[in-house]
Amino acid sequence: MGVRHIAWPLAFGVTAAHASGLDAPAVGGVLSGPAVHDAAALYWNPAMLGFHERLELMLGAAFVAGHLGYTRERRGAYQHEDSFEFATPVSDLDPSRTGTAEAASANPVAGSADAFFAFPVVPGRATVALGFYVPYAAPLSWPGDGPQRFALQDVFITFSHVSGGVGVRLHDRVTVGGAVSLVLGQAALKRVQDFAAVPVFGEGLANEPINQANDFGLDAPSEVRELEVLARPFSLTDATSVGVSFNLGVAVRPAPRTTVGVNYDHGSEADFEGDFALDMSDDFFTRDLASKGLQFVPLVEGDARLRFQLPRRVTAGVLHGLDAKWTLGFDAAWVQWSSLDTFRITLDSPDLAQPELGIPASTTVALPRNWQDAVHLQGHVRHQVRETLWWGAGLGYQSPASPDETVDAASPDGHRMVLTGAVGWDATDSVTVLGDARLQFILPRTVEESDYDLGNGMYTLVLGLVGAHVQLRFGRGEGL
Amino acid sequence: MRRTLRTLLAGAIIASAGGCIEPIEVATDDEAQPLQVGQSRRVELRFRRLDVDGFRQTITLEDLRGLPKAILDDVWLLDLPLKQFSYNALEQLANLTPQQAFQEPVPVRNMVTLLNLTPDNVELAGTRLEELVQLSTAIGQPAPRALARILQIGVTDRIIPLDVASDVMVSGLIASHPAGQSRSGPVTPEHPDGRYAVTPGALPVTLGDVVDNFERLTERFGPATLPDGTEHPGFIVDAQGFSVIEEAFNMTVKVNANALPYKGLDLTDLSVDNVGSLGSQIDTLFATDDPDWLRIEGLVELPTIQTVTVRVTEHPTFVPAGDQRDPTPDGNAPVWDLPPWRFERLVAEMARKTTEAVVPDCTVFTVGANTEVFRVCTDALGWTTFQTFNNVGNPPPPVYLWDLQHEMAQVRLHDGGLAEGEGIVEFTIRDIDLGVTSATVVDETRRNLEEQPRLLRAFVNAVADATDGAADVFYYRSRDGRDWLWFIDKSDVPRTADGGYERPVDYPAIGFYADAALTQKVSSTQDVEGDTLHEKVELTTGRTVYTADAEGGAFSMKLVAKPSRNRIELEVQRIR
Repeated sequence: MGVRHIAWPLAFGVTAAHASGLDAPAVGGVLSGPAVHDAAALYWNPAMLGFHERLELMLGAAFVAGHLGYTRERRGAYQHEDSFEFATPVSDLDPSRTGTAEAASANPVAGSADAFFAFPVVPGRATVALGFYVPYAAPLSWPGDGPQRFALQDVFITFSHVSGGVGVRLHDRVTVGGAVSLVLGQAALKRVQDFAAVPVFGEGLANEPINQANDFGLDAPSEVRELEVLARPFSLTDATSVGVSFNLGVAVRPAPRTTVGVNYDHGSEADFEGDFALDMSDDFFTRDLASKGLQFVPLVEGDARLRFQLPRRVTAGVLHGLDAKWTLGFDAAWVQWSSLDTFRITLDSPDLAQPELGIPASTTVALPRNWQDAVHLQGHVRHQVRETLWWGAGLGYQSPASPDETVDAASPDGHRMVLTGAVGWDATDSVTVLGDARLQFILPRTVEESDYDLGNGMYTLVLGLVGAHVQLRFGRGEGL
Repeated sequence: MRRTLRTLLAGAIIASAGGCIEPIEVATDDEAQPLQVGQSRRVELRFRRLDVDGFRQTITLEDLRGLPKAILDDVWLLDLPLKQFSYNALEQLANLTPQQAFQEPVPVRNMVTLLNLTPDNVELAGTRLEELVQLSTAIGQPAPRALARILQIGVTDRIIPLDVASDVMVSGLIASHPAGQSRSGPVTPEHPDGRYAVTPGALPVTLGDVVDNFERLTERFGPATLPDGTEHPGFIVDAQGFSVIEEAFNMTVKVNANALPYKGLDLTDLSVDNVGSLGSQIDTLFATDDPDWLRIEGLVELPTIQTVTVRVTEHPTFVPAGDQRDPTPDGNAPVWDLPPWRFERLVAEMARKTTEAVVPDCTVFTVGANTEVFRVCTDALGWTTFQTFNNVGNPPPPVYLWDLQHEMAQVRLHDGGLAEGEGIVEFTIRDIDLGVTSATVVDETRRNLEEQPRLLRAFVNAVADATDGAADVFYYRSRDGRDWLWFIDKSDVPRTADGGYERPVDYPAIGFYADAALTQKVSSTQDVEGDTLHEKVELTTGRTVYTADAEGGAFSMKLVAKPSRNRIELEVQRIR
């Protein structure tokens, strides 16, 4: 299971959280790819299934651990945390809040499993496959009171695919394939919601009867952000989504020892529905302005809906056997993260409604993210040590998706280096055991241009993965 | 569906440190327990500002009706001059047609007659000038003309002009009534009895009057006891159908203030309660730099009243005119000893006011070749002497002019067979305007409130409705960074519908003290950011002060920590 940036929108308001997580390479072995012929091709490139001649069951498990670091550098001006000036210019700034904050770190640990089953209905011509895997996961737990708390405290997000596909060999050297996936999402998170960045709150303050022009909203300047009274703990739990995606691929063997594969993954729309809870237990919200129509219950609970687009991607790979022992491979991917321009979050609860202030029971917030397309590059080599044993290694690079303007502790993204290693042992003609390892890290990223000073500072990320797969093959024919 | 999904997903995830995220929860506060003697507890208070600028607060008629009457009655809007109203009323009465007047009781008919008395129509029979009738034949002058010359008016002029009559009605009848002399208002150092002088001749109008459409006017101007113990009979018997406000009435004020309440302590159980903050900001509360800071809508353009019945009582016995010039300037007429609301006194006042225009002069009546037969001289004081010559008849005795008039009025009041003491003048005026426009009401109200915003302190607190709980003391942090404890004022305590207070406010020792015996006061009402109402003391870390609540408990309060700039942590101990 590989590790990569994934940013998932998780909350309402300001910085919908998007946690660093586990991306596509975690599917199958670490050397699986669009030109690799294994059952995990259901995900990587179903066209490669067309080369299957034997029934194959591939089972795997992985363990991931990592370390994420964030040292926030507040570059903006802030008022005293226990003040409450809602419009600039602010008269009473707190210079001690500008500058470097205490470093925060998170050490995610997770495990996952996958399973693929490929069944040649017409051996050497057509193979159907089924799979269950987790291409995306993001478990993360930052300090609850850390300087990143407005972006994220805890998150747990997974996307699991239940897929079915087919690969057809059109010609000895050409196959095509396709797969359809049911995308099941699960999400939970905690963060501190800064109400200074909640547009509907600013509008409520500006509406009659309070009628106060203010700087609150998505574009709130730092001077009015992160005030104690407006820092409201928020949780989203039991959120699930169901989506459908598909991928199409083609593979060519232009030469006996060369395979080229290209896969298009359509992505899907994530549409989470879950429960939210919002701690409003401050007298300001529950008591002090009750006569003006501002009176929340201490704990607002209701339904939450979170929508965003999972990216399309095109992955291409080539494998070339130099000789009987050495094989070189190169993969490249273009991931259309630019499709994730906005998180749309809807909260719905009668307890949210503040009718006298014009705050409705249901509110939708569009949060711009403006991510950019990413490129993944990876080269790898495989060496057959002896007939039943091989090893492989790879080196990769992945460009960041989140720009400086929107990166934050929920998506500690950056220029990412990926080192992979694998070993395979054919225990019998029908059983192969694979061992995988992956280490990835981002080059320390210093951000100085974060919008509204939300995410300035330095980010570090190191993730390690170890896993194992077993491939069981039945029947006769071409194997891996 | 969601449960099924979770089951499916659980199969994919073997383990995850982040997979056990529970929904956030909010701790519920335990019910505060009374502090026992000897027991101490720590409590944190915070001060927070929400400085609003140009905050508009609209108060509807419904809102106002929900407030205690006592508070509304303390909100004085203006003194409504009643001269024009009085004039309008008397004019309407005077202009009754004979047919209309005939429908009225005899005293009212006689009042109509009085208002329309002219030298031409006056009946002098039974008055001191009765002899002028005989003299007029002898001197060859019709009695009306002779009287007109004596009074220095035209033959058909009213003997008592309506404007004079209305002035006197206002000054004599209304201004003499306790409700026309002073009104109630907030107790302040300047007004410790809560009484405020009323502009003479004006009706003090409060927000309470506006809200209830003056329905209590009859009660207010009914029988009352004057400060010296004299009983004033009152003069409004009935008043109905005021048309001053519409149902859409509302007031909108524009304020600049810290809109958040203060956080205080109910010393009994140390619960943290809210204390409305607007009252203590009253001096700077209203955005009077904006001429539109107070907007009143829903006032009828020209306020009117459907019917008002005014009663004027006469003295039980005939009040004769005086017959001595001295003591000047009034002579010896007993009418001046009557209270100002008596009919005879009112007429005498009207007459005196009318005759102020009379210049010292002698009017000479001649016959034939300028043979003087009758001379009437009036001096600067109005003392009038009559002389006849050549045996034309007996002259009337000397008299002050106004005595002449009030005597005539008394006599005429009893025409139709009324006995003395039965001449109660009670007349009903219908559909008459109050003599003031809504614009004037608004302008006057705005000006008065600008000048005396403190009158609105209790009202503002009531409207803001921000006080919650029963705090005895509260925390204030001034802009210069100092921490204060303030003792509540009565005006901070919500009122009940009957004008009382929602909780006891009779504190045995208001303020803060340096000793447990509460003998050395360390607090004062010093000016802190405009507030001079509350007892207050500055706290620094480690300082202990003592105070008492309204239930008789005494407490020590020590500032033990400053968790942040706008927070203090107090250790409070009940000492008895």
